[in-house]
Amino acid sequence: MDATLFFNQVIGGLASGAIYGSLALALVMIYRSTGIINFAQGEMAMFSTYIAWQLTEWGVNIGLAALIAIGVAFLAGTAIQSSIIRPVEGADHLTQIMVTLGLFFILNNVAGWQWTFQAQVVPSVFGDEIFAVGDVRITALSIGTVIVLIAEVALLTLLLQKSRIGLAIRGAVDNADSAELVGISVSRMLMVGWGLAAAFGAIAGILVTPRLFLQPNVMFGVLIYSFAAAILGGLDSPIGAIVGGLVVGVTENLASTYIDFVGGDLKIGVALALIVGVLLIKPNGLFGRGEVARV
Amino acid sequence: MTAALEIDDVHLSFGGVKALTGPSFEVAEGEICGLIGPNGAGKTTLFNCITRIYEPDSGSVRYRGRELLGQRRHLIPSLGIARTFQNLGLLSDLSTLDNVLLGATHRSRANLLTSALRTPGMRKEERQMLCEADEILARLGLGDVRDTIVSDVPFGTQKRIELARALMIKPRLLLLDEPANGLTHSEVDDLATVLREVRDEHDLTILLVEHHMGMVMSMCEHVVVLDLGAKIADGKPADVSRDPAVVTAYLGSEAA
Ligand SMILES: Nc1ncnc2c1ncn2[C@@H]1O[C@H](COP(=O)(O)OP(=O)(O)OP(=O)(O)O)[C@@H](O)[C@H]1O
Ligand SMILES: [Mg+2]
Repeated sequence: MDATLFFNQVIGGLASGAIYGSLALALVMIYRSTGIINFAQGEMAMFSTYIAWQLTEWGVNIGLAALIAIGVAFLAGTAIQSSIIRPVEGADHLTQIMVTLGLFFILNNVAGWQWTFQAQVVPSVFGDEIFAVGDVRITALSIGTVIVLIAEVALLTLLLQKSRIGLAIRGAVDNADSAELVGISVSRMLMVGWGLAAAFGAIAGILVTPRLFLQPNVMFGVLIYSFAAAILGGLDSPIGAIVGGLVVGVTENLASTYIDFVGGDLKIGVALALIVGVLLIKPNGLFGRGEVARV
Repeated sequence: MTAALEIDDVHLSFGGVKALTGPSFEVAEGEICGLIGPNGAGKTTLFNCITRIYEPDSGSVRYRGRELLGQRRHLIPSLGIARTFQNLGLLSDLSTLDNVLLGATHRSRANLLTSALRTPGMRKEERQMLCEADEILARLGLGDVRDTIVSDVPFGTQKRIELARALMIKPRLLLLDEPANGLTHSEVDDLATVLREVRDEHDLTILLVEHHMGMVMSMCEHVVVLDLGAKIADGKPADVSRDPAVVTAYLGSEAA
């Protein structure tokens, strides 16, 4: 077995895995705070990435464009929650799924109409440098992606575990009635949850598009991998989302390299097989808490 | 002087079940008022109406002359009202301390930004809240479980943690739903003593739902009895306990 090839594939896998983890984190955030699986998470990320790209087209530096897009994503996330999610909060799962699917198609179509389906090149926030360690090549983007992911988890953990707002968010999720009676506005906390998730999604989109090109359907595949990551990690666990993302990224890369019939075309099948397999064998994932306390 | 709490002809049905059929009574400022009645009488339902968890079909609930129905639920604590839940409203995967700290939410000026950045003002506020929380924990004898995850302590202790959280709200009106449930005899006495103390110190008004008759009779200056959603007695403990309607209600429910 060729060690260089192996390491290159593992490193490439970790870099994509970090992106899947980032989007999975967004899915987990929303699932934990509202019990909703947000099928539009990828499209929200795609849309935010277009905003960043549009800004660079207008001459804004990519770093600044990314920050603005992430900020806009946060605000849009809170707006989406309060306008179209809040009315279906108490509704059954099917209704909620239909609403997020509806959002999926709206965002997809509006992006296609506004920016066409032609692929665009998004510059990398971390530049185009490539480092070589022996024969193993690592791009600055890969390193940056992993660092951003670690920063995201650290921030989220700090926010949820250590800050008073984090306590309030957890309170709102765990027991809405009693949380409100200590003065927590549950609806405001859920808005914050959607805002944060949208911001994490935007980060994932901005990091992945320099490799995949930007077009309205770009996040669809990424979303499938992120679902696999979130389900593998346990839908309610932030750490699980990250570990799940990295495992899925590496597995996908290695499978397509070493298992002949998988190749490049069947890669997405690996993710789907993982989803089905985990649901059959360990429905709560590796880090899940079992039955999630619903609001 | 206006009453601390006025319940006025409150009606609420769940489908065919008439949970409240128009009880009316007043709780005077500064008193400890018992609210008793057989299982299913509507005591918890009335608490839920006062704290905006249930929306009554009709009637009025006034706190110091101000209508509560129509208020937003999360603003209830800033009006000065705190409650505990019969079946606990704690966050079971948080520590005792964190649960109690949550009681200060409505007084906190934290927002997402200041909270994430841990500004000096925020840290000062946190230190202040921590002091208050520790004081309350010590007073309720909860110092030992300060850092224990709530789901790892016994039910009776959790009930006291909930009381600690309610006190952290710094209420003027405290609604307690069976606080003595799960406590041993001596713990019940301690609880009664603490409640009387905090009432005296902070000018609290307390509405107490409790099946522990000894506690109700010894603590309360005023007792209201509900049965099948209606008020059947209202007065001094000694008078109420002799009231034939009350005796019948309790015997009836025991026979059933
Ligand atoms: N959410 C609800 N849905 C349907 N029925 C309810 C609901 N809440 C309360 N009830 C009914 O209302 C009636 C009063 O219940 P409630 O819990 O207020 O009694 P309680 O006096 O607190 O009794 P206990 O002493 O057992 O706690 C009962 O018949 C109960 O089944
Ligand atoms: Mg009850």
